[in-house]
Amino acid sequence: MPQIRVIEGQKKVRAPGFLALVPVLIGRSTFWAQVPAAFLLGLAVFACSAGAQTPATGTVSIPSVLNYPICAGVPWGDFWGVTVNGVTAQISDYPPPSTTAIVAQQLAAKINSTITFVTASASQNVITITTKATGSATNYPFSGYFGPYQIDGNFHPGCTGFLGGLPTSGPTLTGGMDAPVQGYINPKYMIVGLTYAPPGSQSSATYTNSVSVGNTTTINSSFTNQTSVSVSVTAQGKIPAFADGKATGTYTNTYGQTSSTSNTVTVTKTTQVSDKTSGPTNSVVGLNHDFDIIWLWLNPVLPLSFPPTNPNAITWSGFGYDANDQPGLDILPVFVGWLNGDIPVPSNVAAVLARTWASSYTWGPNTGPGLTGPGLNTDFSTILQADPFGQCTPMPTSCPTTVDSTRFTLSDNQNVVYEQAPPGGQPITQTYQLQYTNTSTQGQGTSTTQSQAYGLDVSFSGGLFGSGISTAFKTSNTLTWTTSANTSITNTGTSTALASITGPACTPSGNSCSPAYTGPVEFEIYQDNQYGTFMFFPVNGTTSAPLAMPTSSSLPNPSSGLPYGPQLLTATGGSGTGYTWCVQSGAQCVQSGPPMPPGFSLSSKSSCGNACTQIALSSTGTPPAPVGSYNFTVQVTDSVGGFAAQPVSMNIAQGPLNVTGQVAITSSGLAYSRVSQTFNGTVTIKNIGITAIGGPLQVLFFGLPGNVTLTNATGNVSTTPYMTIPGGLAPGQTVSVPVQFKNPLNNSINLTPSIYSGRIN
Amino acid sequence: MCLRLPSCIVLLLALGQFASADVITYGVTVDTSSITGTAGSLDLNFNPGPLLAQAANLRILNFTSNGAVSGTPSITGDVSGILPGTLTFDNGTGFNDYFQAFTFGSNLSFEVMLFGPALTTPNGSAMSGSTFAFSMFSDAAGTIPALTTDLVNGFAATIDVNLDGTTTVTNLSAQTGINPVPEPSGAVLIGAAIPLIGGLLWFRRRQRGA
Repeated sequence: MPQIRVIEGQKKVRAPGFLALVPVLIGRSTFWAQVPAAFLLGLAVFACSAGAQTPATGTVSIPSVLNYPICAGVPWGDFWGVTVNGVTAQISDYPPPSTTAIVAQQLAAKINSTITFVTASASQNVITITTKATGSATNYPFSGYFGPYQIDGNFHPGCTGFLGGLPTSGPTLTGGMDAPVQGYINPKYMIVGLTYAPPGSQSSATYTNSVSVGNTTTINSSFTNQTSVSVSVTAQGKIPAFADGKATGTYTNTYGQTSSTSNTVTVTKTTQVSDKTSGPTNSVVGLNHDFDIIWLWLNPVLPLSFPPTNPNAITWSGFGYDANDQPGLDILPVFVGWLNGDIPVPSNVAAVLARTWASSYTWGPNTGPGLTGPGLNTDFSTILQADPFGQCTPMPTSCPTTVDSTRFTLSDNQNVVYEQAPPGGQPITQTYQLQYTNTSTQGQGTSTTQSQAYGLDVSFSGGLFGSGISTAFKTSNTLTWTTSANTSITNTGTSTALASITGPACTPSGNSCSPAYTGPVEFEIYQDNQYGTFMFFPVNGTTSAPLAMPTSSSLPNPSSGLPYGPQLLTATGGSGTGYTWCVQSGAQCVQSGPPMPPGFSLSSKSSCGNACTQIALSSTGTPPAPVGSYNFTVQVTDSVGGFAAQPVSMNIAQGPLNVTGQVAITSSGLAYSRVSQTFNGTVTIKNIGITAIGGPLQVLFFGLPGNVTLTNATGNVSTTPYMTIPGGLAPGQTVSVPVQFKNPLNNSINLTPSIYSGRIN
Repeated sequence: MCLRLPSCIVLLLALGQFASADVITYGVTVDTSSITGTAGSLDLNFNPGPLLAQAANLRILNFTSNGAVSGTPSITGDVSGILPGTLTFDNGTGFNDYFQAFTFGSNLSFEVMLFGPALTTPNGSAMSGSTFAFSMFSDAAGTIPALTTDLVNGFAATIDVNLDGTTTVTNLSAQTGINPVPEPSGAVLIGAAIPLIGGLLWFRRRQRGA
C-alpha cells in the first residue's frame, strides 16, 4: 500500500484523495459525485504551491555581424546557434542581419521554439537564457557558435569559412532553485455519482437543483509506491482542459472547483437540469439493483507538480479533463447490470468505454486505454464496489441483508409502499420529496477504497515529469483513492430528489394476479453518505430478486409407456436457500392443484448457481400413463417464504407396445477395438411367445452409464438410446443386431434393455 | 464298434473339442513375415457382454515368436502376467485388456485356453457371453491394424464364449491360423482307445482265422 505522509503546516489543503461531490454531467442534476483523488500535473496553468523558485540562467552574446565577401562568385551568409544541454537552436540569414540586436532577437525566438525547457529573451546583442525547470545539481551546459555558410549549398575549396564560438556567461547555466516539474496523469475514469433504481417500472427518483457539498477524500492509498510521498492539494475555480502535455486553456463553464477547507476540494456543477433514474421494466421483479446507475467521468486529468530534486513532494492542483476526448467533461451513466455482467453492454456504449482516443498514451501492460470487464479484477468490478448492492441480482446470496449505518442514513420519510393492485384495480402511486441532510456526525466513517490504472501522456516520455513520476509512482501506473463522507459537510444549498413509487399492475387470473408480486411491500429510503443520493431498502426483506419461474412451459409431449425426461424446471431469485418443490398439494405446497400424469415424478432439486434451483420432471414409462391431456402446476418456495409457480401442460400420445415379457434378450461379449475405440458385440432377441410380434421393433437400452454412448443407436427416448429393427418376430424367431459402445472410461456396462413393438413418435 | 479306426479318432476328437468341457484351447499361429522388423503392437482383451454374464477365464500360453516384446505392457482390468510368459484373464470387469509393444519377426504363436463356470457349467440364467479379441498393429500406439481384413475395428480374430458353454471362432486374418488343441484328457482317451480298438480288430481277425 502506498505510504503517504502529510506534511504538517503545508498549505491549507491536505493530501487528498479529494473527492469533491461533482454534480454530475451536463444535463445532470444534483447528486454529489465524489471524485477520487488523483495526481495532477498542471502545465503552467496552476500555481505551484511549493514556494518561490529561482531558475538557472546564463547569457550568450552576439559580438558582431559577419559580412563575408563574395568568394568564388558565391554570396555567403551567416549562421548562429546556441546549444543548451545538448539541444540546439540555429538560425541562418542571407544577407546577414544588419545589427547584432536583430541576430539576438531572431536567435532568442528560435531558442524559445526549439529548446523547450528554457526561455530566451534578447536585449541588444545579449540573449538571456533561463531554465523553466532545473535543479541546482543540474546546471545545463550551454554554448553558442556562428559561422558563414554557402548559400548555394556547394563546397568551394578556395573559400574557407570558420566556425567560431559566441561569448557566454559560462560553460553552464548557473544558479537556480527547484522549479516545479509539472504534468498530469490520466486515470481511465472517476466515479462521479451513484443513483439507485427504485422498485417498479413506473417508479423513478428525479434529482434537481445544483448544490455544492464539500466532501473529504483521503489519499493515503493513492500511490502504489515503496517510498514515503508527501502530498499537498490546491484547487482553483475552473476545471481546465489538458492535451499533449500542456494545459490548453479551454475551460468548461459548467463545472468549477475550489479548496473549501483544508481537507476538502469541491467540484460544483452550475446548470440546473433534472436527472431521472427509473425502476426496472418488470414491476413484478420489484427492486432490481441491476438498474442502479454509476456515473463515470471518462476523461479526467489529474495535474500535479513536484520539485525535480524531490519527486516525492507532490502538489495536486485540482482536476482537469482531457481535451483529446471532447471539449468538456465526458460523463457517462453506466448501469450496474452492465458492470456485473448480468446485462450485455451495448456496442455503442462499449465503444465509449473503450476510450480509443487515449490509445496513444503510455499504459501499463493490458491496462488501458479502455475500461476492462465484466469479470473479476477488472475495471468493471472495481467500479462496482461503489454500489454495495451491485451483485444483488446475479448473486442474491452475496447481497447485504442489512443497511450499513455508516454508509447510509435513514431519511425522514415514512416507508415507501409498493403493493400490487388487486384484480381489476390500479396500483398506488406515492411521491416523496427527499432532502439531503447534514452528516457531520453520522456517516463520517464511511469510505470506499478503489484502485485503477492510469495512463501517461506521451508528451512526458523522456522528460523530467516522466522520470520524476517514475520515482514517485514506481511506474506501476496504478492509482488508488478513497472515497469517504465529509467529516464536516457544509450545505451551501439544498440537494433534493423526488421519488415516485408506483406498485405493480395486476393481470387478473381468476381471483389473483398472474404473475403475482410476492416481494416486499414496504421500502425505507436512505441517503448515501458518500454520494448524497437516495437508496431504497426493503422492510423485513432482502434486496435480492424475488423467487420467480417462467409463466409458461414448452416441454415436449411424452409417449405413453416410454420413458420421459428429465426435463428441467428452473426457479431463479429468492433467498438462495431452502428451496422446496412440489406439485398439487402437501404441506410444502402453497397452492393445491391437479396432479402430474401417472408415473411422473419430480427428482431431487439441484443448484444451478447462486439463487437458482432446478428440478427434473421425468417418468420411467412404467406404468404407462394414459393417453390424454394433463395440466398441473409446479411450485417452489424458499427459506423466507418466497413463492413461485409454473404451469405445465402435456399431451400424452399413444406409444409403442412393450413386449419385453414376450422376448428373450441375450448378447455376446464385447470385444474392444483400439482402432475405433469402441466395444463391439451382438444383441439377439428371440420371440419366446406363441404370437407374432409386429414390427418395427424398438430396443431401448436402459441403464447405460452416463458416459457411455451407443454409437449405432437409431435415436434417443429421453436419455435412453434405442435401436430400431424394421421387421417383426414370428414365434420362435430370432434377430440379432450389432451394438457398438463408446466407453472412454472403460466402465462396466450393465444394461436393462426393453423391447417395444411399434413406432416411436 | 468303430470298424474304421481313423474315423473313430476324428469323431472322438470332434466331440472332445466342441462340446462344453472343462477347458477349451485353441492354438493360434500367425505368419508375420510380411511385417518383419515392424515396431508394432499386440492387443488381447477378454470382456463380458452388457447383460448378466457368467464367470469365465482365459489364459494365453506358450507365446513363441522370433520377434520381440518391448517396453512395459499396458494392463487394464483383471489381467496378470507378462509376455512371453503366461497371461491370465477373467471377465470380472467390463474391460480386461493386455496391450504390448512388439517388434514383429517372421512368425508368432500362442495358445488360448478358455475355462471357468461359463464353459464348465452354464447356468442358463446368464444373458451375456464373453468375447476374446486378438489384434495386431503396425504401430506402437495400436492405431494401424495389421494382418487383418477388419480395417474398421482391427480384430485379427475373436473367440466368443456362448451361453451354452460352447465357443465360436471368427478369423479375420489371412495370415492367422486358429485351430483347436485337443484336451489332454481327450487325447489320453483316444490314445487308450486305439490299442483297445486295435486289440478288438486282432481278436476279430483271429476269430475269422480260427
